[in-house]
This record gives sequence, structure tokens and C-alpha cells, in this order.
Amino acid sequence: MPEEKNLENVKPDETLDVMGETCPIPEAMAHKKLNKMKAGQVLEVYTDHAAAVENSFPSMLNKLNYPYCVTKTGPGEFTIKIKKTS
Amino acid sequence: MNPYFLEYAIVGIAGLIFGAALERGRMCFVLATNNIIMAKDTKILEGILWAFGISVLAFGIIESLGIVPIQAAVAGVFPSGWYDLVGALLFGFGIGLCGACMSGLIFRAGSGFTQNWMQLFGILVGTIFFAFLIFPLTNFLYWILHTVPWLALKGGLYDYMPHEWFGNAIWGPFVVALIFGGFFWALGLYLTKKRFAKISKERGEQYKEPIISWNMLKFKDAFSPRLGGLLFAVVAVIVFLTSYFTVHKAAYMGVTTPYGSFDAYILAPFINLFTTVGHYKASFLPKISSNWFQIVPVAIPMTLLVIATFAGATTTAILGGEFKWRVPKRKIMFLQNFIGGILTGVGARIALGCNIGTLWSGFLMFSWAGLLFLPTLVLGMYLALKFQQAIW
Repeated sequence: MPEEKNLENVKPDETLDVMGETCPIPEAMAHKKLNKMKAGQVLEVYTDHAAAVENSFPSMLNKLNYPYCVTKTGPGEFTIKIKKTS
Repeated sequence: MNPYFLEYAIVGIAGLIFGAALERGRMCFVLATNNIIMAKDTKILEGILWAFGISVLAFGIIESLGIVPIQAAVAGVFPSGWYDLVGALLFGFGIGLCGACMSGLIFRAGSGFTQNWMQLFGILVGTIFFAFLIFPLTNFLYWILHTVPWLALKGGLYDYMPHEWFGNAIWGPFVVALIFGGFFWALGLYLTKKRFAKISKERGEQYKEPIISWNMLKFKDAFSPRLGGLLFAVVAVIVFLTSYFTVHKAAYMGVTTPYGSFDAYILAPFINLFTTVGHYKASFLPKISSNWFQIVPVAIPMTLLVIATFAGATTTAILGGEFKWRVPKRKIMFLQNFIGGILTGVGARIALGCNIGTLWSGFLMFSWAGLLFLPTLVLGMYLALKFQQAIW
């Protein structure tokens, strides 16, 4: 599933701060948190692991079929908004 | 020009390229494995397969054409044995805990991840632990010298598949390279094609990634895995040829032993590493060195390669606007990385190398080391991923 830019302005229901941590922690913790959330809710992840943003998150979210939106917030810093659809 | 100076100068430049390829290509074995297990994504693995495939084929051609004579190539081959299996399991679990293999560590630490600096510290501690305890207590050198599985049976010391399979035939290295290198490269090409087809289907339009682009050269975009893999192969060939044509010793890529050199530099002012300070051995085994530092040279070109690799990775991270000192919010990650680093260091020493020196270079040496290292490495990384998914 390609990125959905309209998620950018959606207020998140849950947040996850994994700044400073490398794979597999950001995507594994996000996956765990998404499992506990209800369908329709949005998770916002704060990460500074570029390799996870480029590779791990898109592949995992494509597999889950969850729309997401990546925003670069600073040098090497990103927020990823993920909508749990089912 | 002094051949040693020339060797160090060229290896230093190769290290800068290697660092750029690692950082920009995101070339990390843990990242590749986690992405496959968690999301069936092969992008990073494709780069590694390109690196292995092209470099193994290149080494086969170099040796079969006699550019580097087989005798010189064999002189740098490590022995292989059960210790590859045991070491790779510990190493795989350790790098899995840290989220970075021995080479991935360089680009992460070089990009400012402080938890990977803790991993590096753990590796230095683990190497000392191995050098003064495991090495003498297990009489490790005896096992290295007496448990070589194949060629030793024929009276030789090292494993060199072309000789084992084809005797002294000059085309032997090329045929072995074609089998392994051809397999790796073909698998890499197949996985890339399959991934492009999958994305094209999802997007409803033809999808392709360029191997190289202006944005990659300007460090704006990450390198394609294929470019990262190609640069890996180029660096291995440069190091191999340089070492042979300068000081007449064919050197293979390695980053583990240089970490031991760092230990030696740190410890040398405080203790004499190179004399017998205590002797542990089973009575039925021959007397050997009392610590690991006694059997390895301290000043080696690969140490400069590792330092230059750090410099290359840091430079491209800065140029790409991605360098930042990153401190994990959860401070327990420092402990996890320290423990993981110790396992990384001990495992790599037991296996006589890491994912670079034993796995990749094992294939470049046409020895059994790479094949023995691979299965338990993957098992270790898998167990570490499952462990972390369970606890975090």
C-alpha cells in the first residue's frame, strides 16, 4: 500500500517514541502496539532510524495493508502515522 | 615508494568507499534478516547477494587467470571447523540483540547511534574475555590447527575448495566461483525482479529502481542495494589486489581482528600482552600460547580499513543530512547492546571472524568457513529477533 499523505493532519490516538533505537525495536514495538489498538485508530511513531523508515516500516505496513504517512521532522528524524484499518 | 605505505594508503581509500557503501546502501545483515522474517522484504538482502555474487566471481577470475597466483591466495585462507558453527550462533544472537552486524555497527555508530558505540565497547570487552579466558582454557589454537574438516584429512592445513575438487587445475577457482558466486548473483537478480513485479502489481504501473542516480551520488538518497553491493565487491577486489601487488600477501576483507588490535592498543600500556602470564591447558594437549594476542599481529592494514570505514560512513551520514547523536530514550538499551556486544565479540573470535571476515571472505577464499558460518548465524539472528519480540 503506497503512502497516504492525507494522514498527515490526523490526530493520533496513540504515540510511540523509539528515538535512538535501531531495528528491529521500532517496527517490532509498533507492530505490538498496533495489535492492541482498535480498527480505525491512528498510531504516531517517532524514530530517527532512517533504514527502518526506508525499508522495514514500509514493508511491514504493506504486508499488514495499513495506510501510513512519513514526515521528516529534522535531520534524520521522522514521524510515521499509521492507520489500523482492520 | 615504500610498498607498505602504498598498501596502507590504498586500503585507507578502500575503507572510505566501504564506509560509504555501508551507510548509504544500509548494508546490514541483521536488517536484511529482520526484514525478511517480519515483512518478507528482500531489498537489503539483494544488495548483500550482489556483493557476494560479484566479488566471488571476480576472485575466481583473478585466481584462474593467475593475476594473483593460487599459492598466494591460499596463503591467506583461514582454517574452518566446528568453531564456525558455535561462534556464528553466539555472534548471530549478539548482533541480533544489538540490531547491527559487525559491518552494520560501523554505519550505525558512524551515524551517531550511541547504543552501537556501547555495542562496540561490548565487543572490545568480549574480545578480551575470549583472549584471556576462552582461548587458553579451551586450548583454542589446538582445535583450530587440528579440526580442519576436509583438506586436513588429506594432509593439508587449510580448506581450499578448488584444490580439493579439481587438484591443481588453473580453472578450478573459476568453476567454484561460478557455482557459489553465480548462485548468489542469480538469486539476487531473481529477488530484485520478483520485488519489482510485486510493487508494480500493487501500484498498477511498471516499477523500477535505478542502480545509480544523481541523488545517490549527491548523497541525497540512499544507495540502491545493487550499488551498495557493487561497491562492496569493488572494495574486496581492491584490497585483495593491493595487498598482493604491494607486499605479496593476498589479504581478504576482515573487521573483527582489527577490534582486537584496538584492544591491544588500549591494554598494551598496562599489561604485557605478549608474554606468558599464566598457562591453562588440558594435560593431553600440546603446550600453546597463553592468550590470543600472542598469535595475531597488532599492526595490520585491516585496522586502518576499519578506521577509514568509520570515517567514510560518518562523512556520508553528514553529507546526507542524517548524522545526529542519537541517545535511546530507554536506557536499558545500553545494557542490551553491551551484552549483545560481548556475545558479538566472543562469537566472532570463536568463529575466527564475523559476517565479513568469515562469512563473506570465507566464500572469497573458496573455503568451507562461509558455508559453516551461515546456518547458525541465521539461527542466532532469528532467536534474537523472537526474544526481543517477546520481551519488548
